[in-house]
Amino acid sequence: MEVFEQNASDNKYLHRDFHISMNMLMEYIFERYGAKALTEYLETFSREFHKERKTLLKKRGLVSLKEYLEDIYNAEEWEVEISMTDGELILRQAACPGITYIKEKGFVPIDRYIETYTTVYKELCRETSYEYEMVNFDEETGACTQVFRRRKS
Amino acid sequence: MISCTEFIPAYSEGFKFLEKKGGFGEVQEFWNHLSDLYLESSLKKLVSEMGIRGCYIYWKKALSEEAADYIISLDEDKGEFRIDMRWCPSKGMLNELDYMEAYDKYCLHCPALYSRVLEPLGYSFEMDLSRTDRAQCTAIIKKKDLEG
Repeated sequence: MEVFEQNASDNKYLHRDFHISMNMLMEYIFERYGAKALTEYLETFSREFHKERKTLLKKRGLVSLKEYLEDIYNAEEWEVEISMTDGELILRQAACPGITYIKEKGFVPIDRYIETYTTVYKELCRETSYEYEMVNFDEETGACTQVFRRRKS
Repeated sequence: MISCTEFIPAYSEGFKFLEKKGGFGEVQEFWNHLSDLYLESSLKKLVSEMGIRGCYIYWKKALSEEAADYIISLDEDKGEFRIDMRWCPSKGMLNELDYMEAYDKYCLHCPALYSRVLEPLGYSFEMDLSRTDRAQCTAIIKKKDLEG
């Protein structure tokens, strides 16, 4: 009999295979129900998951988003350049952790993978004083520049 | 970005979305699809090549990466592998996200995904899901021709 025991604190929570499962879920929704349904799903996810973050964004502004984004990139162990100027939060990454891992494992990221950024973050900014823009995005690597900024009134 | 550390809430919302589109049958259909695509080169390959030990290798890696709190035991003579999940990080995360309503049948994805791969290879897959409110469960996989 072989027994192995592990406590939650023994390991870091970083199961990169979840990127593959996420891609499969999006692909399934897209192929079965179309592009509009995929967008609708991601908007719903963002609305539910980022509910508290949206409240923080309204209360504390871009600094709350900066802290959140630093946290998730740290958790992913992924390099990103995050800078904040007056009224603008800019993110630059040389590659996307999801796209990179999915490809490394021999799978193909869906064509609309960009929506895990654009749809999710636009929904997060909806009904706040801020807006989101994907300035450029390399479909092959996910290298991109993203900006959150205060809306012009 | 949807970080892999944020996947579980996205997964749960995906199940809710699919159920709204086509009922629970549609969710099951997706689980079958995911099982066929995702476990083919991992769990299925390991168990085909190594027998019940393949389960031990697969879950030791997966559960460690997921930072689960668990005990796994392998008895090759009896053809039995067991997972005692003391804290499932996925269900635990959903239980803690009290501002989000998790998919009510979330935990059913485990038996759905794994039994589909293991049953045709000659293994039974049984789960006790009665303690998922505490993010706990038990799974027992047995070689069918050694069950007695």
